Amino acid sequence: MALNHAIAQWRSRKVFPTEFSSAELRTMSREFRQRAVFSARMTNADAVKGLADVVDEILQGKIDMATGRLRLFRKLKQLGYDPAVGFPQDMADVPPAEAGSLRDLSSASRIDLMLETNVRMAQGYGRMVAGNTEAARYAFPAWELVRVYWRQVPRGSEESHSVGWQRRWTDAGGQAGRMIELKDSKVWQALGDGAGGYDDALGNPFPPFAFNSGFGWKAVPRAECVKLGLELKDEGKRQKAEGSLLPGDAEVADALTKLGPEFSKTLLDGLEDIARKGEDATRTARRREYDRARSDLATTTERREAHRAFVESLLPKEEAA
Amino acid sequence: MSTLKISISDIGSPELTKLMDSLSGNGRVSMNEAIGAEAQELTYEHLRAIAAARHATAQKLGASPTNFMAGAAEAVQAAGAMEASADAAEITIDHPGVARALRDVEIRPTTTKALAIPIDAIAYGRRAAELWDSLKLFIPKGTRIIAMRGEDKKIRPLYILCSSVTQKQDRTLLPSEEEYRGAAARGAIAYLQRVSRLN
Repeated sequence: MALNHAIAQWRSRKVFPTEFSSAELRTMSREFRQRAVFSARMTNADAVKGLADVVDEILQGKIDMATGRLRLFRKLKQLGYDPAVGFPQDMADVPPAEAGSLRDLSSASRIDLMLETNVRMAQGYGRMVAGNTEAARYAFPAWELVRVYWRQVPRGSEESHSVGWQRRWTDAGGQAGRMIELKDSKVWQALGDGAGGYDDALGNPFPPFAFNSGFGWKAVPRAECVKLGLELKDEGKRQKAEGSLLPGDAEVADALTKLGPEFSKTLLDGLEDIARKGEDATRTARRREYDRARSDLATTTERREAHRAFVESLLPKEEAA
Repeated sequence: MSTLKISISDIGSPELTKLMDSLSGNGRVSMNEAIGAEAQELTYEHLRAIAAARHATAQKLGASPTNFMAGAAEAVQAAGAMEASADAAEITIDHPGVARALRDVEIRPTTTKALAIPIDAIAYGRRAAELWDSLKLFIPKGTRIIAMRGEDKKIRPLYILCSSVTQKQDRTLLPSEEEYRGAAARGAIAYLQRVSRLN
């Protein structure tokens, strides 16, 4: 199996126990933040190692988030963590945390935040590497910022009292409208740096760009980039000028020449037909998901009632009566 | 871990097969790389659509979605998730949610005597052990449930205990073969257009 860059990048990070708050951690260099495993006020090296191990297992697909959360929760308990006093014999001057709050390292919300942020950052790095091969850059020259994770209170909603991604996008130098930019655009790093003064940014040129962000990347196909008027570089010309043709590319180009233009035309026509059928099938599949979601919503009340009756049937007889 | 294999012969283009047959290792790998990248993107978009649409269990329980399938989508895009060889492109998905697309999945407890299946919003997406102390969970005598006492002191079942669970195969968790063929064709077209420009 090929090297998984997400896991490799994660494993290259060094465990860094720290008494720093998240505001203090933001003052550390980007290089440091990309090379260390840490979490604000997590002063115990074993706890940070526990976090690193759980993230590693999630990245390998060995455990899910719920199991990861339980493992880290148990690790913190085993190390004697108490939100009121921190870790036993802790020399660091960490203020007490309200139990169950985000400052409580053992609260579900804090563990979720630590796990999701770190897993997604490692995956985001892997995505960036995978999307920048010669072939991937040609087929998909741009990224679009889109919602991937569901959020109860999304950024930019009235309830959130925060600025949404559209605004952050334009603050980072992006054009208003669909949040699409070429893969090598400076907008991505600016977004990760919180251009416009956002102190929840994570400092990376890949998603997630901020804590608790549910947004990620969608790769934008070349034809769509052309339609949108994005200025595409002619990689082919550059490669040829630099004499940096990959051996495989040169071989395929030669084979096509030998087989002749008539063959190339038949080949492309046939492939376009198969591609069209595939796109039709995708449209049907998306429609099916949409219809399913609508039907799920429409029958939610009935299903809740049926579920309530089912739960009732599980109760001990005297309790149900 | 689930692995999908996409071979040129599956695409259904005799001309593409002929072209591939005329190539040695390097050219074949390059073509399969382009095909694999497109199939990877298709899989990601498919899982992202599912993550956005399928919240039936959470809705039924009145809970927040756990973003389980969004995690599967992001696991697909990782570098290394797609590997191209002279024979095929392979996509490996390191996520427990995808195996069910390929076969029935039987889940058995590994470290406990029984599986605890959440049946209440409080328990959804949480292991029973995580809530055991804080919610003072218990197993009512003669039942196969894990419960807590509600504010009214009544038993509130949070989990049902099972010796195993079989999740039936759901092929729709991944794109159909027709969609993969289409993606492979798009990948091949993009690649051929690119190398033709090099001539």
